[in-house]
Amino acid sequence: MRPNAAALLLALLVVAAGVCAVGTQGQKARSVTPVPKSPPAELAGQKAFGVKTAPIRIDEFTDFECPACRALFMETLRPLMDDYVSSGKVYLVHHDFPLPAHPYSRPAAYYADAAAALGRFEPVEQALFVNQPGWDVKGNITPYLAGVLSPAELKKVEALAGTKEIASAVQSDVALGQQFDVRYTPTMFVTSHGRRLPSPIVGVVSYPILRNYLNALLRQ
Amino acid sequence: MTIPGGRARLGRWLLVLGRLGLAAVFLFAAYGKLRPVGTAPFSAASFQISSSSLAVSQAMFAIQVDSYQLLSDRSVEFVSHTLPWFELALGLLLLSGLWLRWVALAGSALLGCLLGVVIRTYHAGLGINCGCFSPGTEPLSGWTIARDSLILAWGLAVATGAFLRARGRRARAGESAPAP
Repeated sequence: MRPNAAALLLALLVVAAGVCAVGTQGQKARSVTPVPKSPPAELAGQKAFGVKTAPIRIDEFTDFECPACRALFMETLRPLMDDYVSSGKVYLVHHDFPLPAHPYSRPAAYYADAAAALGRFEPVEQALFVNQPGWDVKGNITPYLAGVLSPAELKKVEALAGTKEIASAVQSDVALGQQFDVRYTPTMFVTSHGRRLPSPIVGVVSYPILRNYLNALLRQ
Repeated sequence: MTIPGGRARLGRWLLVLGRLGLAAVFLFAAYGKLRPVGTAPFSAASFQISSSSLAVSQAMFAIQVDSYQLLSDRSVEFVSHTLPWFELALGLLLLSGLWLRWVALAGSALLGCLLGVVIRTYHAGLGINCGCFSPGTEPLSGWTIARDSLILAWGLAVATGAFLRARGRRARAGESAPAP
């Protein structure tokens, strides 16, 4: 080997060792994040599906205006609800995490949380995701809610969506996500048999792949 | 002044160090994907790999591979079940020094492919985790690309060194062979 090549190899070794050491330290620092407090319990309960005693709990941080969140909801979470949540295997908890880049995601979260306060979260969540391409340009959300709420319910939801309590509930979810180090949406945290797994699921995952993971966890 | 024999010895030692370092990278990558999900790195529990813990680890890694949105579900399953073992095999072969040229070349090709995927995903703006060394703990970033590029350069340096050494051996064997 020529001396130049030898020197290059030595330099690469030293730099790479340092780089790997720094990367590992960063991961350690993130893994000791304390478990934060939950947002207001009564509202959080309305945004959860299934039974609390299910062996697996999924905490999902989502943004109603994010296309990946819509894809996850439509292609993965809907069949998950039918197969795992309804059968008591999974407890699915929705958390709002409106990103600043999406101007209408926070108002959408306010409507969804207001509907949750009336016990009508599920149809409103579905209406928001299904019709996302219709309202995410101009923010005209209420016409799409009219399809799933009665006129009286819609009036109440509109009134509630502007209150401090609802804004504070959404902000609690955001604060929870920040404490969990959520950076992107959608992000899902899985708790299996009472133990929160340190590896969150970030981005879209197809239903068959998620199903394999849940089945493997249930077999443990 | 360094004498030629000293240079050759230094080169040999650097190649050994480079090979062992690259082996450590591949072994660490395989270990991160195969160790039981939720165990602390290098803890005793992280080495207690059972068939059920392996099923969870591989299913978790499949989620990671799927999040790149490049492959069909079947291909995701194939990659998630074979890649950690391939990395383990590369690590063990580099450790042993067997077929070094070809193993280092194969390792560099793998690193090159993975780097290409990481760069493409980063530029597409997908907010996902890298999953390079363990699933779900490292967001994909410019830092990931810099680190993976460095490891690729390292792999190429080891492969180049191994090929140069083999060429040198052949040349020396040719010089010492008796004239016909």
